[in-house]
Amino acid sequence: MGTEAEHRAKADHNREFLKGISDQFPDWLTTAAFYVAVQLVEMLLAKRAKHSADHHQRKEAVRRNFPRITIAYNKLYNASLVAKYDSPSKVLPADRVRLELIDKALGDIIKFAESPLR
Amino acid sequence: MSNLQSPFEAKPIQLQWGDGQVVVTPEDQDRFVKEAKWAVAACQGFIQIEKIFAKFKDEFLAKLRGWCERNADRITDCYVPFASPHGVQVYVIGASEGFDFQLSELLSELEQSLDNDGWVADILQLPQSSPEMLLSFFDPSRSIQVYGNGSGTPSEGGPQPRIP
Repeated sequence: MGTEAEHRAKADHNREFLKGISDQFPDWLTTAAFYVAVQLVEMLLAKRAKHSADHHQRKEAVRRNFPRITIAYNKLYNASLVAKYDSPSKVLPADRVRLELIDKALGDIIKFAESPLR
Repeated sequence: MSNLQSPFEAKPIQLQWGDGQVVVTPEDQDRFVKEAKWAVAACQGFIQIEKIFAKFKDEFLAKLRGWCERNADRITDCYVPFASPHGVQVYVIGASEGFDFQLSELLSELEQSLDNDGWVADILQLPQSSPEMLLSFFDPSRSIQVYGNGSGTPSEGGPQPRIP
């Protein structure tokens, strides 16, 4: 269980990694984007002195505490699970991952996490 | 020669739907009661086990089934595996081979709606896919088939590895 600052640092670290992933690996783009979201959610929870122990608890925590980002978070969660096991030929193409998951879904979560009006 | 058995030799528990009531087929009734004990964890402790099963069947499964019927253009099958360490898990097999973003939004709304009714469920979509892919997530032969005819499930295939 990390502090708010530790989760923020890990989210930044994961974002740097995400920037370096080639379009050749849309599955890893998806996975890395999800783990940026995980750290941002944990950062938000830490700010409320909360913590989730696993993906299931975290998903429920997002729904209960941050309903505005539930849909975005669930897209990343579900798409990353599928990407882990889907054959490379069936994985979402990189341009859709970048548009739907990174720009839109992760973008919404980043905006929410950084919003002072949250 | 491998002595592993295909998990698809056993079938999911089948449900009958009609007049708003959910009925477990007589041949599956014992298995349903035995295997569905995991559902207890998702329910209030003071409710008797028989009532929990009835509630689970008549409220949760019925609502899930209704949702599936209303979204039949987007999905082919829906399963609830017996044993999940994290409470109630639901797998919805999408009609397309790729990840369906709109379906993801609909499933988030369904989760919220079930949560409002007191049912915490983790609902995931899986695209139409190979046996290996499905078995990475759950074993259809150890699940309740809430919707579909199994077209999202491979009907044949030899022994498959379980990926933890």
